[in-house]
Amino acid sequence: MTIKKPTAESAPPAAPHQPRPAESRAQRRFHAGDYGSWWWALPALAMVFCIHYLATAFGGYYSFTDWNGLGPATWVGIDNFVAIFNDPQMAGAVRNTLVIAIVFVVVANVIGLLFALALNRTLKSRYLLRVLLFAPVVLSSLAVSYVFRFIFAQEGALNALLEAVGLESWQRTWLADPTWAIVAIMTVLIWQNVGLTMVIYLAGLATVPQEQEEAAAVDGASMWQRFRHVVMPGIQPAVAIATTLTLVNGLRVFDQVMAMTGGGPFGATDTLATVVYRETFAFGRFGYGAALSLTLTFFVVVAAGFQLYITRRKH
Amino acid sequence: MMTLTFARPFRAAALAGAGALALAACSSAVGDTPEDGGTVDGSSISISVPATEAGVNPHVEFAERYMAEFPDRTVEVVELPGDGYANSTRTQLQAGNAADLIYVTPGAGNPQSLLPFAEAGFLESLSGTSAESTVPASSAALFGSDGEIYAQGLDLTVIASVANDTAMAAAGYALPDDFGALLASCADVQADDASVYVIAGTAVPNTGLLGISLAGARVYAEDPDWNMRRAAGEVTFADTAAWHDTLEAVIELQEAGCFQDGAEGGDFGTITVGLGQGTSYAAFIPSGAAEQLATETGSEFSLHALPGATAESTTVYASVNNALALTSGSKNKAAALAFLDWMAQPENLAAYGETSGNLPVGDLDPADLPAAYAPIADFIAEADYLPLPNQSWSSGEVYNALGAGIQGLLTGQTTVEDVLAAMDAAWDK
Repeated sequence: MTIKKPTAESAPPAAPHQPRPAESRAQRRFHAGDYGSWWWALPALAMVFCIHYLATAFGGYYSFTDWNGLGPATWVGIDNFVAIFNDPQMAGAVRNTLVIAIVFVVVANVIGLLFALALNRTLKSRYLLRVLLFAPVVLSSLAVSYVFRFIFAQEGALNALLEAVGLESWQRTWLADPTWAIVAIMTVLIWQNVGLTMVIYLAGLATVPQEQEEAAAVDGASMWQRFRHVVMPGIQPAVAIATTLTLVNGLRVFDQVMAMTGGGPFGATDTLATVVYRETFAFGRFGYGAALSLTLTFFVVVAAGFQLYITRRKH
Repeated sequence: MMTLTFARPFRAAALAGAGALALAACSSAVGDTPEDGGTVDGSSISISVPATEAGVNPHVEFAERYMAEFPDRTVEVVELPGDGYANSTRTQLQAGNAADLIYVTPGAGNPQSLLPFAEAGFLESLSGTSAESTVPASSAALFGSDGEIYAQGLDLTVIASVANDTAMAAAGYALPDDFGALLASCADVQADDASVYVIAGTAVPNTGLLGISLAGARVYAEDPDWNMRRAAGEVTFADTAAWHDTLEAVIELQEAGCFQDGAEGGDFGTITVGLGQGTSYAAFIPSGAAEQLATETGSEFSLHALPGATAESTTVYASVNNALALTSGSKNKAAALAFLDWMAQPENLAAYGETSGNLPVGDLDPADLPAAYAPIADFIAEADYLPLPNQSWSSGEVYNALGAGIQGLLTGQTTVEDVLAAMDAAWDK
């Protein structure tokens, strides 16, 4: 469907020139678009600056001190950052953070997209299924994590199920196993967030015209070709939103780790966020913790920016 | 992962019974006039303590008894979440709105340890007050510096394994007197679908306590001044053979089947269930838990020393681990001191020890020891015990490195040498 531009022949005859009635200065400024100037936002900007950026700046300042939460802080330069990059436990925490974030982004988005495609149009019970799949999103992540902690426990439901089906050899102490503990955490993270990505993709799919898919089908395009060349370009903004959200949430994962393993066993599930918490609030190393927080923020900003760049370029 | 705290034993009420106290009788470090600390009559003070996990906080009941005895005085107990207590207290001290009295632990080895608070000037000296009678001479360095003390002890916590006597008797088992016999006995217990010990392998406070308990006979019984020598840089964890033996003993216990199945995945709930149901015979938990377990399960529990290489090398720890400190910013110092003085009366200390499940500070009559302490009565009667060593470690990070390291040993993720190196690194931070 095309829209014809009006031509000289089709255009309605121009109205005779009417002199504009005299306007006040305010009215003229209104018509000129002067109202709604940037300074109207100053109060809000000032509050955002003070509450958000100023507080962050203070945190940034403390990252260059040895403050222990008591008394005055002493400036130590970049010692905290040097210590971070020389700390062997940090390498493990960074690796775990990246592994969790990458696996979480890929799996949560793939499964969420598959659910969205399955529940987009035809299924009669799709509304009920959407609610059921989205329900974990509204639950407290701590509560969910504690429930799964019982499931993964030595005497928990998972091992009982494995025993019931004759797979005793698969039983293990899931949350104390250096290999499987991080898998258990990622499972909970993905289980709880698949509903969120599904909803985002459902919103994206709603913007893809059904006629385009039908036209592609009439033209002989296979299901994969229709998905690849019709649906995916249409939901590209949803992909950008969903992957960015999951990436940021994955990089700053905390609740699930603290509730299920506390970072153990022996740091096997430690992430940057849990190390920040432990160093700051358990050990009272506020300066070091602030430096760690700044490092984590840097990670998140760079990763999210890179991810946004990739998805925008594809779009 | 959190560091060791002993806030949990606070769970029973304290009984009152002290006579009225005249403030003049309390030779306090601060005055009693409105100008320098307020008045006592008609006063109101606040006490900040970690919240108990179950039941009524003993400080609440203790406060109620105090108010019943002195109707014109008010004591408000502020319960803060246990795992955030230290951080909340730091914030309040820094902001100048902390309670008049705060719960602290001696030394510098825990997040709520009093020495860092005192060094930062947030605590009032209690030297010259009745608090001095609650601080053992051997622990004075953990309660202050330069001859000053900054907290009042509440009770004496014994660190030994808490054992289910009923379950052991039913199985015909008795804890051996030496470590070799202990290892040899574990397989038989395991064959009966039980375990000698139940541990919370995922909880650093518990694995750390296991390590500390093993170090008693191996490190501190042989060299009680080891911590001082470590602080002076004369020794390190890594170059001390006794510390190697300590961590090797963890591996020996595991390989001998002394822990429950899946010990590395256990938590505090695992200990409660295992010990309560008698599927495990003993656990490394604060002594105050024995009475609570007995009440809740109907079984008999008692305290047993973890056997050393020989019966002669076996030892136990006993320390004043729980204390109250007066904050410098308090506007009710005279009233707070009056409360502390009332708590320091022998009859109140005795009542507090009874209700907390620990022992009262001060002189102990062996005849007055609770039945649960019978197996270690000789240690207590002869004062043949050691102070809890991690109180005088440089920070809570050392204890954390020990506890987390034992986790790693149980899962095979690390080695004894690496754990000891990590403890040294934590000490030197």
